[in-house]
Amino acid sequence: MAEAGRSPWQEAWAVFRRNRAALIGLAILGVIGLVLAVGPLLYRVDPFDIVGAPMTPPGDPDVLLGTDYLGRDILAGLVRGGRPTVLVGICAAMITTVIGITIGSLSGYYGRGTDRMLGRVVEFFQVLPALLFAMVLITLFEPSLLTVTLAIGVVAWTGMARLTRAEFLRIRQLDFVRSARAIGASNARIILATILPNALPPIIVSATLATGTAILFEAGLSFLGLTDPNVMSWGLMIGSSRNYLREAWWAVTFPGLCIFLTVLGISLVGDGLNDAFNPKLRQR
Amino acid sequence: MAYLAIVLRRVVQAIGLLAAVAILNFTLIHLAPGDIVSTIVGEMGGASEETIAELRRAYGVDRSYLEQLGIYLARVAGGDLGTSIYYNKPVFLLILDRVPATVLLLLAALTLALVAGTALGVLAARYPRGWFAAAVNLVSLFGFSAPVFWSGLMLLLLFASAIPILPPGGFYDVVAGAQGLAKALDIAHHLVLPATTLALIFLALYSRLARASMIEVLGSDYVRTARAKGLPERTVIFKHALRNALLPVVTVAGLQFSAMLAGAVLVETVFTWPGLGQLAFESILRRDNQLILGILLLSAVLVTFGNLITDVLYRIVDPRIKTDG
Amino acid sequence: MTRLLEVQDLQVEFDTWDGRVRVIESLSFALAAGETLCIVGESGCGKSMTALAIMGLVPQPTGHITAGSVRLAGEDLVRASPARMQAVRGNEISMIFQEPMTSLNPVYPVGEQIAEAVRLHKGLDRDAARSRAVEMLRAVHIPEPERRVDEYPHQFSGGMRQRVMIAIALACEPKILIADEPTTALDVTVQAQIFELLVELRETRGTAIVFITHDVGAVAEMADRVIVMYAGRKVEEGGVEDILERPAHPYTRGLLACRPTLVLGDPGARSELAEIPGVVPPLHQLGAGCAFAPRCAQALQRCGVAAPPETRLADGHAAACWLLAPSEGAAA
Repeated sequence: MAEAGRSPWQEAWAVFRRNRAALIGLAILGVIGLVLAVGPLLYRVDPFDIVGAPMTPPGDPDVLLGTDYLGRDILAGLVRGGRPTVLVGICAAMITTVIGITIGSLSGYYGRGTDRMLGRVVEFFQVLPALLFAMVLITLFEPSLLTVTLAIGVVAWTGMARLTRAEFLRIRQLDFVRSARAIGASNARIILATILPNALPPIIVSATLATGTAILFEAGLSFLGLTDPNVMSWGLMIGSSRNYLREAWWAVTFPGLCIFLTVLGISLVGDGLNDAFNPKLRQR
Repeated sequence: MAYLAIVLRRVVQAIGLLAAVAILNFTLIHLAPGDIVSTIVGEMGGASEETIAELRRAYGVDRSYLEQLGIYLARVAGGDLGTSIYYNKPVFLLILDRVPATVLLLLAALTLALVAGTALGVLAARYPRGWFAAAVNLVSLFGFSAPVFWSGLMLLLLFASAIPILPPGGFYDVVAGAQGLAKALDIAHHLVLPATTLALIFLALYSRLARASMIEVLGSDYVRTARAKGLPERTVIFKHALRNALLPVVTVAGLQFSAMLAGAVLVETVFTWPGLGQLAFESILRRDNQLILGILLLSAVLVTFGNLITDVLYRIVDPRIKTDG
Repeated sequence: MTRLLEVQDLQVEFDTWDGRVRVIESLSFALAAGETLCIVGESGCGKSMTALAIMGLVPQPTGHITAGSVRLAGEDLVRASPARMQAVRGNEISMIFQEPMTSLNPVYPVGEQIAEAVRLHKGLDRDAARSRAVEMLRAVHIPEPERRVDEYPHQFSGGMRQRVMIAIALACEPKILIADEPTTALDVTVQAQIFELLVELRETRGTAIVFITHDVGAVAEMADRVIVMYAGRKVEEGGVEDILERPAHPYTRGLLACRPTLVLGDPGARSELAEIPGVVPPLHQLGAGCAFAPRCAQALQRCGVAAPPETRLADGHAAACWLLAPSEGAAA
């Protein structure tokens, strides 16, 4: 039951707190975040160093999770390889969010010619094969974390733009926007201070899920080797060990499991946020 | 008549978009450091000034950007996508050679994802409180969260290594050299793992969408009307609810062609499936620019074509669209 | 008077976040062939749920009929098999709903939506069912029925859609039509046309009608007999004159006073518009006493303690109120 005197945000948190799946997601993300933050300080093995015999199976007291085909420590790779993946994912998701909100809000707010023109731009980026285009961008301009981030950000924003546009179209015609216009608020003020805050809930959900998508995107590019070869990442580990899948399954399975769990945590939290912001859906 | 006009307008729009894609790709490759001549010279291990100048003239890279762009566009419009420097063959033929494998993979994955995804979603909506709905939820979470190349490798490990019932990769068994129906079956056998892997992501999406929209539709007034008519539950679900519930699935499926192509690149790499994705990846590593440009353009054509088909399908499923433009 | 439909001690409960809630409590009434019975009450009083309970369409899996019976010509529908209920629905009892805009399936032509019921219940082939659909569209006064039979719901206005709904409901010549606020979502002029159509069809076909409404004006227009419901219980029942001229229950009187009426002889003046203070209490917060007591100006002490029994006032006129109860009932 809704209690009086609580903001919609507190209300949403109250719902979120009772969502078991979302809390599990949050816990997964907490553990992964902790490992990525302090793991490299505690486990000081360089993931590029050869520390044992090639393809040592997991369980060896020196290399707990085994070694890859070159004899590099898998655990060291897991502990260090998450940072670039997660970092690129978050930054790229931020880029897609900013581009998406900008294009979507202008399109939805101004409508007419602006909407048609920006609609073409969105359509254009939808037709463009995103991964191939990002691959081309990255190889043309030196594979590095920066180019990977930019490439993902540039190709993956159309969903966010469509969502923001729809929200703006809906909110634009509500009474409080009309009254803001009636008292002479500027367009910029209406967009940023009146409409945007009300469009935030779905945008937050979408941005959360976009982080997961961006992480998968980064992992895919790294898997193909289109990333900085001097920075260990989960995708890169899988890519370099995949030809030894039969002989050293662990070198492929564990990094993939890390990506999977990270994105799973994000998806669960995203779903939880979605339910928290849409309490109506629960009652079904 | 009006219907034809709409389709025609869509086609014109699509051509405009594709031209824009061509211009952007060309510009990017033009802007990037190093051009075709430096690549050739690099492979030759160095060349004299005169040779370089001659090569630049021969490949037209001595002209201005606009001139080169004009020449490129005119050529593309005439159906000439240029020549691959690696294969020394026309790009168009190279691509044509790879299209069937990719289209086969995409269609198989799409069909699997749509049929299985919708079925799972509908059943989960029908029995929302049982273990089945929970299982569908788990499958969809896995599909959403697992990197497609990794789930592909895991399937390989499982079904080609641990329980070796499926081939680990390739298009068909070259050694066996089967013909006719046997070859088709062989290809199908090779198709199972890549198509399942690719379908997994989209199956997750469609089952979720189908479930959500089915739950909504089952609570709608017209389903209540159908029940009030005394229709059997089967007819209520499959005739009245399903068709409406499919609308959002079709819409989203139409927006996913680009994402499917992305998945196909990774899946083809994992399963050495000789499609466009694999060719694209290889030519990006080889800096075979004409071939990259060609593949990008053709992928955009595939995506556009997919969107057009979705549009037509949507109009068939939803009669409300027909009258307005 | 033969009893076509007989509802006895009907009780419907729902599972909610706040536990099990009783939305209909020991409701009994009967409907004779060809008769029009109006069920009146504010939204949430259980009148729509009564209709769904008769149809066997109480929302699953949260709703349950926990007691009572619904007898159609003697046969208990509450205990009937699902297959039997399907044969009853749309064939012997039909229903039309409040929202004509959303009650038709948007992806099928209206003719098909009429014809499928006829094919199912009457075993007609496609051509015959289609002619039947055209005939029904004509019967509900849709112009050019031969052409419109192939059109989709979005090509019809709200009033026209409600006519289509009526055509669907009557296509199999049911004995009973349940109309759940069929005019609430429509313009006033269109409302009048739908009333007219229902009255006409009742005269020509002899269909008994259960007409659910919160509009007292509609009651005067349609009803032979009236049931007034409050918070899931029947508070008063009687002939249309009894209820409109001699309302006995304070709630019925309040409901009638809420209606704007023209004062006879003075077209310019309107009678004072009254309103009942307070709101319908949430059903899970109902106490042991009369549900209306908290809003009732004449409430006595015992009104809050025990639910009032039904008191017979005249032939066919009864109300459940302590004020009307004979004094020996009060002592009990």
